[in-house]
Amino acid sequence: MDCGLTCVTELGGTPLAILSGGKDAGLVRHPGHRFGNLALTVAVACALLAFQIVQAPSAAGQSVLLDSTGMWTLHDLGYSDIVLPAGGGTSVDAPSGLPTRLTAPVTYLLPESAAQGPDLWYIVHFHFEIEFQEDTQGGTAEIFTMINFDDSPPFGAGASVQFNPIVRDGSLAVDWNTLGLTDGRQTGTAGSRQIEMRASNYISNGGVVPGENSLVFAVREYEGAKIATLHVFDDTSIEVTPLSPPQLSVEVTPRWEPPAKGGDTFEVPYTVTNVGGWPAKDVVTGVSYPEDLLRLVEENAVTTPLLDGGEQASGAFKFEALSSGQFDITVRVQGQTGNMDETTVTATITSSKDVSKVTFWGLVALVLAASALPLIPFGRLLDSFVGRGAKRPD
Amino acid sequence: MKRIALWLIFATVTLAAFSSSTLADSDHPLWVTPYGDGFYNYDLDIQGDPTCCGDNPIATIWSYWANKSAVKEYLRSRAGPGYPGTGGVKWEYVYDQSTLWNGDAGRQTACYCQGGNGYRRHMRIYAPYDDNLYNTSWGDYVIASQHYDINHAGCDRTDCGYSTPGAEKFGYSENVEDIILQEASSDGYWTNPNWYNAQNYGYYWEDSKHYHQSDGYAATIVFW
Repeated sequence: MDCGLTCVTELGGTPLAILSGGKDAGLVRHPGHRFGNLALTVAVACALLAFQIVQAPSAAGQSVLLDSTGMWTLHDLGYSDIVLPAGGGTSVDAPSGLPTRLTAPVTYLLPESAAQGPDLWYIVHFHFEIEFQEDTQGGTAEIFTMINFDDSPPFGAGASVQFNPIVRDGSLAVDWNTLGLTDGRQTGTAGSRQIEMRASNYISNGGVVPGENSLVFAVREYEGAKIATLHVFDDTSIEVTPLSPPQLSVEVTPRWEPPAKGGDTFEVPYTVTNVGGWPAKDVVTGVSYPEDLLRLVEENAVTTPLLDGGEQASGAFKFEALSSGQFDITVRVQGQTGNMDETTVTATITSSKDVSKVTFWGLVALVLAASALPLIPFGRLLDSFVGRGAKRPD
Repeated sequence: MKRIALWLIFATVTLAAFSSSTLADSDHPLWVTPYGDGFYNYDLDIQGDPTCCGDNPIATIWSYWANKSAVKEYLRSRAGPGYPGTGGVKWEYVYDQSTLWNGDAGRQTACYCQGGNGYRRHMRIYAPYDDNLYNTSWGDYVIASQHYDINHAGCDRTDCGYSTPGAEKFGYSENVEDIILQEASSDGYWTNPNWYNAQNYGYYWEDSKHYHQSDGYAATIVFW
């Protein structure tokens, strides 16, 4: 156990936590995870020996039951900060052959009815800090959560962050990105070796099973990237919530009544709904249509910054018909969080050409009729008409 | 009269079903939407036009803790023959929170000779921003197509010591999928050959060079 008995992690030069090893270093707790093969067993044994879970669960090693909604922090589950130090025997023999290190499992209990939806949902909120080694090169490092990790299903994934350090002119810049159902895709660049990060995600279905569940934090580094330390803070949590992931729906509202006449403008009104529970962010409603036949009078995409669960947003796309025919107009919604949805309506445009034809032939008829007027013997007709009813003087 | 009407309805429904199933060939890639994400069930020759020119069926999903760079690095550095090379770039149109094109030259084995022909196995991997997709059924995942290049440039029958060139052929995705699953399994990965119905079934020659071979199901390799 070479990471010793004093791992001091600093944030901004201030000691954040002094972590001690030895008998109280979390080795007390060895949850009953289900690693099946020898490689994994050895790997976890190595991991257990090589890093510290500072504070053992308080209730005589019993896993805590997550029996109500809310945030369940590592602290609530009986754990403290977890540090995966540089070096040490924490590497595992990953099938990928890529250098991979795992922490020991954090375990907790879920009720007998536990499942990922539809009534309750489970989200991991991962708060950590990584420190790159001074001699890191450009490459890729990934920090991710593994739930109920085993050599057979069910498997559970959660929050993950990818880091791409770039060394340029002797200085380090680290691009990072993460993708999840709670916050969508997030990206950024850090300018130092130490990066503190929060990432959240709905746990995949296999990561929510009745009874005991286990949560492992993993580091995978390759192509020259070298991580010195992973520090998982004890406010990292499992959230139990009735809010389902954001899910977007779009409908063209019934008051829309095609057809319009050629040359006219008409509107396609729509309503976007977040039919999920978690807020949908940066919701973009756009429209596609035959651009040579219709002209969109205003913007072709509208952004709604935030759409809470069950909330609706309405709007309308205004078109000018350039020609006649039947045109498909597709209204599509997608969000930074929230699945895509689209609906297509058909606009029937009466031909403006047909309309003018009617006018033309009407005019022709009128002119012909007018030109024929002199030929009509009005006088005689009048005479006969008048004379028919009145006796003419002799 | 009633019977005729019923037959007409039956024929219409059958024709509709047939026409929708025949849509999913390499000439007509189908947009599939597993668990709220989206991608075409073939990779595509041309960026920008998903209605044109599918190349090979999407036949493998690297799941749970996968991302594109890690999977490609695994293939590149894999012991044994490995996949040290790259090929030409093909494209996918993928959706996960945003929709975008992703291109990949893939990873390719070195040339090897078998039965008097030159072979390479070639896998292309796709994910938004070269990262991964995510849903609650597959975790972090990437999608892939794979195929043989037979007697292709630089790996011809003549490179195997024969005096005459061999017939150039491509495809046989299902055979390559079997090999990749065997390799992954022997490396310690959990695999499943029938994970997702990608709706790209078919065993036929697309032309004199390309053999379309797919059982319609994408396999998975649980990657970590």
